[in-house]
Amino acid sequence: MLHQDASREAYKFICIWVFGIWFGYVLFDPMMSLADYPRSIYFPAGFLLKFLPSNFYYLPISLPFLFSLKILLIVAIAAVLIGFHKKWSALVTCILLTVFEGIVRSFGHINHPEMPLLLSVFVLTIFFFFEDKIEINFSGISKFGIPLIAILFIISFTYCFAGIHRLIVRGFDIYSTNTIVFWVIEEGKRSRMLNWHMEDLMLTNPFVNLLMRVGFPLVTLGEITAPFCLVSRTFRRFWLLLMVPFHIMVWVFMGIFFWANLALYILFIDLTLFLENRRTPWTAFFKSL
Amino acid sequence: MSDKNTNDIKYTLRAGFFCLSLIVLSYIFLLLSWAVFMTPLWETVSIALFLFCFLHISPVRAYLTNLPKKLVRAYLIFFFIFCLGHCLFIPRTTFPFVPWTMFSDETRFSDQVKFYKYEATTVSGSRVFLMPEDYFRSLANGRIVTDLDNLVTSIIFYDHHKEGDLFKRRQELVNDYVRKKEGIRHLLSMMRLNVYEENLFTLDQKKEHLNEILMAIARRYNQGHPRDPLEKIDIIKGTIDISQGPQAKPSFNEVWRLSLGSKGAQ
Repeated sequence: MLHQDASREAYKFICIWVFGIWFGYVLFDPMMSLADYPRSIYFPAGFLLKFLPSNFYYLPISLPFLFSLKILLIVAIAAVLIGFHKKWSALVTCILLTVFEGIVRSFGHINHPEMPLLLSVFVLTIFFFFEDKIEINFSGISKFGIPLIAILFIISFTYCFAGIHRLIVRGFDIYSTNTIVFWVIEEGKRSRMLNWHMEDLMLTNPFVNLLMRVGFPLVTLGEITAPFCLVSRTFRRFWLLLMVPFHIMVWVFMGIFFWANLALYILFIDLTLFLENRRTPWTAFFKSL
Repeated sequence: MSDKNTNDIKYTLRAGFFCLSLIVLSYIFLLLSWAVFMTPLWETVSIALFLFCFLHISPVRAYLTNLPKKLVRAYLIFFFIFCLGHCLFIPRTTFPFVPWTMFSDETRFSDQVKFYKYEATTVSGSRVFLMPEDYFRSLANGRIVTDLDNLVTSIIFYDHHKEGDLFKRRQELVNDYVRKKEGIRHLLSMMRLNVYEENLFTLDQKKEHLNEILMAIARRYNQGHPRDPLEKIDIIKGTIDISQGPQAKPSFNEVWRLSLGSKGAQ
């Protein structure tokens, strides 16, 4: 299995990677602006917000709460990064991040972009509570690989669920009709992330049109089989060759950017091997693929 | 029987229990939602079967059986909730364990793609294209825009079908919830409303919500442009007939206008 013999460096790298990304994200997110958003549109997402007593129902979207949340989150994540009461700081981070991500999803569509990164925080926090109780080489397995494999397991199953859902709920009609053309144009016109009007190529360029139509069922197949990346190196290479362009195309053509997924793709390479050969990064990258 | 065989049987039983519990619990929750459809159940069964097979691939089995038991238990509980969150399809209740349903919207047999543009006119008369997520960056990446577009679509749809069956049925459903005011029925319907239902709103409420969002966007815009605030915001619906291929050109018509007055939104 990938990461079965992960080194301490690889584990530490992932901890810093995951919590570091959240640190930057929270630091630059203008969450206080949400206090200006109409309260009538607030439909709490998540059991932490949804079942608050009626007196405190709107508390999470008040300016003092949002300000305190931001400060507390920055402090808690920084504490994890410097290792100050790591497991308890991580637990607090989990709760606060869930509240924060719940609040931004309480004003409309519940989307997924940051979700894998949030789940990764949960996985690492669970491991922090057991870290000291496990021997470094437990039954011949490196303990540092356990959270890495657990995160990869979760990410690959998010893909697998999406693929199975699409196939079962929509069947094969979705591939034989104009659905993908429709979505690309609709999402591309809706999105204001990139103003390149690349979605128009779906109608004007036959190559792009064909690529999307052929790519759609292939991507579904790739999604369903994602968990096999854990056990087969060859499969993983093909999978990355399919899914990295998929995410980039979805970003460029539809304006939907699963940045957290791409950030976590670092787990699809053998980090231990990569970090051992980091003086020659490109060679190390291709070796660790 | 050798130790290896006993361990294998134990592993299979545990994996089976995990997958079966997922199916049973999902089914119970689906039953409680009073709307059992075979598709979600069939999906849960497929996931459980896939998971059961995957757990029996030899490297996965060898790895999991060698892990410290307490840690495995903690991760299994976490993974179970993660799977259940997907199978229940009530993200507003189960968040952060949400269903993973990307690119699974309804199959499109229509060739008419619709989209919306948010155009505003300032007090001085200049036209401004508004990008809603620029004013609420935390709601970027599709959160605010998808919600706004869905809101506009539903308003146009309900306005158009005001006399139709669908709108009446929707209205009756809302009235039905309001009517159930007594005793255990009220409690049950409120529970169901809280746990399972997404938002049920009348047409007037939706219109009010749309205006409030536009007002909020205008307020944010005006904070950065105090000398030339917005006077009105128009929502323009664009339509493209994709069956025309490269010749397809969008047509536009105004579907909504919010007048903010000569002082703009304060």
